[in-house]
Amino acid sequence: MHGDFSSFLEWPHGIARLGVVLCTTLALGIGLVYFVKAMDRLGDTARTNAAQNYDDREFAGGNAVVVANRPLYEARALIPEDETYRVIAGPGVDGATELTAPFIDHYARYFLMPRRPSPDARWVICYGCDQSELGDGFEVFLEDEAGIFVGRLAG
Amino acid sequence: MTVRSLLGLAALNLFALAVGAGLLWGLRGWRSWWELARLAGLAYMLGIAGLGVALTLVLVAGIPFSLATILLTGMALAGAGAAVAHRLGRPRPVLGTGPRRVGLAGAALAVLVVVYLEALFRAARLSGLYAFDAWSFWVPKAKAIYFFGGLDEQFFSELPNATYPPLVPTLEASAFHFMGSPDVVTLHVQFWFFLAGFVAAVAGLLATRVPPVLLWTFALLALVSPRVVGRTLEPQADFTLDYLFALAALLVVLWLLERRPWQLAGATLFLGAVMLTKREGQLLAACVVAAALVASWRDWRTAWPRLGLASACALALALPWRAWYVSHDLTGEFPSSGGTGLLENLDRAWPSFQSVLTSAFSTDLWTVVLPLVIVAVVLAFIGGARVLPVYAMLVYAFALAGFTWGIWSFVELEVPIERDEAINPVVRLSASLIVLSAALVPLLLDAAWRGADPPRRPEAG
Amino acid sequence: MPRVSAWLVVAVAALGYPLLVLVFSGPPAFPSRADCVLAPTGEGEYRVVFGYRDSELEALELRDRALAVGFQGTEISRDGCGRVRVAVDDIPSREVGEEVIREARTVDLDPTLEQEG
Repeated sequence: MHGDFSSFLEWPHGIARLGVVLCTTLALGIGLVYFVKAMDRLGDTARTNAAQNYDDREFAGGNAVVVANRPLYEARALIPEDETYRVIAGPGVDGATELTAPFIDHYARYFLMPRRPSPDARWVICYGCDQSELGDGFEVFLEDEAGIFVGRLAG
Repeated sequence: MTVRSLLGLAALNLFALAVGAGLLWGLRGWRSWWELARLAGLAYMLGIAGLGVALTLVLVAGIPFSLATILLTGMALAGAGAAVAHRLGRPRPVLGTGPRRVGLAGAALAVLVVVYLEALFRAARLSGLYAFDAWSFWVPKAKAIYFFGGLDEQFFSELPNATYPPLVPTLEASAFHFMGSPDVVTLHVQFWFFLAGFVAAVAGLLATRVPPVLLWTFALLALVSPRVVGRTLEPQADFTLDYLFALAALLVVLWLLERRPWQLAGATLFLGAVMLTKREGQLLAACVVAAALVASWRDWRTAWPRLGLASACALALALPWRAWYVSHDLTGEFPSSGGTGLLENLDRAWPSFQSVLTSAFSTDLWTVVLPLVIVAVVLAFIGGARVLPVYAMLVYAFALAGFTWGIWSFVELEVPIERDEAINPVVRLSASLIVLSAALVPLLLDAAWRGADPPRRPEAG
Repeated sequence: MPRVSAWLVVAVAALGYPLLVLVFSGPPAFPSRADCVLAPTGEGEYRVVFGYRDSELEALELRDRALAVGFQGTEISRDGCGRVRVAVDDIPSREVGEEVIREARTVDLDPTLEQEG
């Protein structure tokens, strides 16, 4: 890109070239500023990710939904991979967020795969549900202090 | 998170590179091994697109999905490329004269991009799965393919957005197979590979066409956009769609300027992959084709049949998935008010357009990328270029119009959209135009400098 | 600028960044469940770990076995790596811990000594 400066004022090619120079200079300036910001942000992200414990990294976004890790870990350990389960959500979970009731079944589906959800499954993960509606014969294997149960219906 | 997962992922991506090299050999060949090195990024992305499309067709056909399926499919693609090359009598490549000369400024900018990619890798390696849509349906679909060896009826009908094409979940499931487990943490590194591959592909294609300063300046500007920094590693289809779309658009414009058949053939594969990545891929593909048709109106007799054939082939790649979900009674691909329903919601038109513009021109998300695109288009026109700026202007204009139609049609969305960028659907759409700028703006500015559309270079790839 | 020099600049920078990261942040970590198993280093208190289980139900069975043969204070707790630890915490010294382990092996338990986190 060579040429004396006065040629940049000639219409149309000089003006176009001047525009290219200005455009590139602006892009470069902004790009450099945001490069520094990006490197800073990515470094922070890398450090934060490395500092997380194993559980938090495994649950990640689910921590905003599940209230506690124990119930889903327990469900994953207890429910055989070829059996089905269902998640019943209700209002009675201590520490629930606005995402818990509407999305706990979504998160459980992701976390517990390859186990399949089924509306008539024997295995139940009760997130503040009304246990009395499950009937007699519901054996509780884990009861979390937040009001979450993992259990199985008999038969 | 383990070394085994990382090595497995590296193996998958080397495999994709090999598959893509086979496809590239069939499409255009290469005169020297240094030329292949320059086009390695393009080869890799062709491999990703090819594997993604072919494995999606394999799934739709009901063939059990396994590591063997992935390997055999890739080998078949590479073999097909080699067979075409043999038929066309491609000469064996020579070693060549080494990499092209790069000035200090270009080298310095390339350094920034390389260091940025390294920093992004660090951020990717131990990232948990935070993105809502990722754990809600993208990764569960991938897990379903991985665990059940196919498009499991229950999961693919019950997971949200059932009609979303499965190209990205298919590639994610392939990653799980190579890693040996559904390691959703290391999976983020796969999306790092996609970005690095895209950057390398654009660099390889433009290295012989534009000065390095232009190439790397606008690549850097797109990469350091806050939204790209924050979201490009998410195991979702958004940015993958954008890379494939940008490469399709770039190859189409190169074909318009240079008329090398391999460019349109490569674009066809990318357009098919775009349509199998997300449903808005159909809109983006249509924008590319429509812009190309208008930009080539002067020689419509030769250009339009070829563009028509390319479109038909791309559509043919995408139709089997459509047939699958229609046959499984899955709906929801199109907005209920996308047709005549628009007239009943005329009051949504302007707020929808406002929402699109607000998002696309947001400096918080994209810095000054789109304003510079507009300036670059104007400068190219002033400089005397025609085909290139007409095409670029129309791709962007059609896309913005298409996004407006989309927001207008989904009457469930309140307009103007004032949601947080984390859940604002227009932001995802806008990203495609930002990514595209990394490919088109250097060409536009180079044309403005030269005072004409880019010349056909006999050695250019 | 000579053709090779510019490429060398890129190569040096590409290697330089990871080297700087290694120098300032140490070697890369590859997290695994084993990260929550702390080898005894001699600083602070110890724990005698009877085992790790995936479910609390199985961990409770192991805990009950340990309690039944006299290892008072055996408790279960989540280890932070997706598993449940069955252990006696607050062991004051390595010698005490090794004595506990010797006793446990006489009743068909096979605990290990770990550092408390």
